[in-house]
Amino acid sequence: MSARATVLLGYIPVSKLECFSTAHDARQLAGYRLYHYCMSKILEPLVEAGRSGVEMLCADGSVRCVFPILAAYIADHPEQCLVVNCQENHCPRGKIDPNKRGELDGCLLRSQKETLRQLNAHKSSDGNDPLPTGLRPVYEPFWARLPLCDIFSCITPDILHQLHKGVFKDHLVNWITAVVGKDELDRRFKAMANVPGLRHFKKGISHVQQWTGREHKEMQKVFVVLVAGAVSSTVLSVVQALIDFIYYAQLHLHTQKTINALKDSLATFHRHKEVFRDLKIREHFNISKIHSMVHYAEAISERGALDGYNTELSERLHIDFAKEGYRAGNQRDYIAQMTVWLERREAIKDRKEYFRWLSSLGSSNTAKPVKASADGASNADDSDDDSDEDIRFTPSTTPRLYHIAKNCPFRRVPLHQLHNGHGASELLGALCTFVKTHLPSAPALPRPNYSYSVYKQLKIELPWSPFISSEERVEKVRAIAPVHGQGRRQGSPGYFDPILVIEDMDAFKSRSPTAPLAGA
Amino acid sequence: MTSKYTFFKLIDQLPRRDGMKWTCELINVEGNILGEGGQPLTEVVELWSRNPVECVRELIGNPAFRDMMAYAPERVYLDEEGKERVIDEMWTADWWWRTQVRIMMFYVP
Repeated sequence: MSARATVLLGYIPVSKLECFSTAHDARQLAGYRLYHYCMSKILEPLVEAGRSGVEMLCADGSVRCVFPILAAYIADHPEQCLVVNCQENHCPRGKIDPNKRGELDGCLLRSQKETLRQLNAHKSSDGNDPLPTGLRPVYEPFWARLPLCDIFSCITPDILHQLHKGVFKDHLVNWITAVVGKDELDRRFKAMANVPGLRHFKKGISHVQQWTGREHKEMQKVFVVLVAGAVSSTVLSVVQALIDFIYYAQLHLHTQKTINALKDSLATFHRHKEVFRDLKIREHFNISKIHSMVHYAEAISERGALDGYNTELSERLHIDFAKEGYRAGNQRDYIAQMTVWLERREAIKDRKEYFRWLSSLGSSNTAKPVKASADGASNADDSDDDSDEDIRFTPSTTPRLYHIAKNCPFRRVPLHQLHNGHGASELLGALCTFVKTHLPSAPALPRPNYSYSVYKQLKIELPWSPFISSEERVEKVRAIAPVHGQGRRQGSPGYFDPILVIEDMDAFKSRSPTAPLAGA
Repeated sequence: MTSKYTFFKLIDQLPRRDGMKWTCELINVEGNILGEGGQPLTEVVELWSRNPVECVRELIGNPAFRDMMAYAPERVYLDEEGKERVIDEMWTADWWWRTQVRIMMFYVP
């Protein structure tokens, strides 16, 4: 369900379990077993329902026989290991030796049948030998009885922790910092031009204490270009490969081409990573988050694009469901109070929806607004799959729409001010040429004493791409003259964002990699 | 009678999702440390939960989601000849299709 409709199913008890000794990890093991026991209790109704199906009335009015099957388990690494029942230095999805996780190949997917067999064998033995593949002796994992369940392939990639925080920040940035030097890296960040859409790290990055997903993404946008010139071409190809992987992994839509590109960038990384060993920065690459990347391509083919498996969502929901619910009560018998609070909130939400539906009946406007125009310029509703032609994939051929301020901020600006403040010394000549070429019926050519209405910025709509996002994307272009400081008021620098204009479309379309700007 | 009390009384009169009621189960955990009487120490913990099948029933039947539901897997292609396959939501990916086929093979209405 892409609408992210989520329901809280239960509260698993957290206890110190002091009735267990801490020797031989007995207390820890008891904790794992309690978790699995509780999960099997909560999910018990799924066993029969998944086997025989349950008839349900669906939102479109039809009755369907529904088989609820566990399809995915979205969690971070420690919880993945808890669910799958393995030690944290192992891969939860596959059986690879924990010392060999630095390589590209060799991690075969674990099998539920085999794992349960191994657990049973261990249970019947005296239990002294360690279990294979890092399994923990929890003999009744909650997924054992769920029909059509393959828990290992349910473990989905976790982009936030594995790619942004792990591969990028904890590893790549640290390696590059070791190569380039902390101060030099900061200097390069500070030297970045101020461009709309890109965050400018004015003071560099080494002093930043708290990193959020936002910061990681902003750093990734500039990182390849930033280190170019400061590192060897081999190191640069590693950086590029990893950043490519991170971007491909986040696509909302995939084809075999994009999945292959994802695999290729990982292969490129593995091909060249030795350079960091040569530079004495890393002795090995046996890191769980780096290893996790080998499973991404398969996870996407099997379960879909990764924007549907976002751990950030459940962290957000934790705040909504747990923290807020707790604070709404008097902190005594808090779980009972939270459940009451939740039920009331759901009742209110249902009522609101009912009223909204009632009022929509009153108006005859139940048809969906027609968004796609004949020239295919606008977005189509993602949910509009009744149409025969899926407009999502029609490339946009129209000129882009642009937005400009309704009220012009600077009217009657004389030409000399445009020369001095904006540096537009060629403006008159260019304007005359434009008028002669495109407006031949104009009564007169622009003269030096004319004055102009000047806008500060232009917003251009980027062509819509289903691969990236279903939302509108806009690019800002600024032309702002510098303002001189007066007394206590500080001046501000000028901002003039460059644009490339395609003058010869045919030359541009047939351009080669050695002449990337042909026709522009 | 405070207004907060009457407010909650009104809310509690709203129709509820019956299937999604919370239940609490007490679990008796037996440890491996022996207590004074030679019996292992125990601890009672609470497990609060709801029936997941009923929760699915509520979600799948919720009219608010009517236009956002996919009930069956699809194979989606970019081109008319079906050469370039697209994968985005879960119903367009391989696992659902395979699982649906497996269920259909054994389903007896």
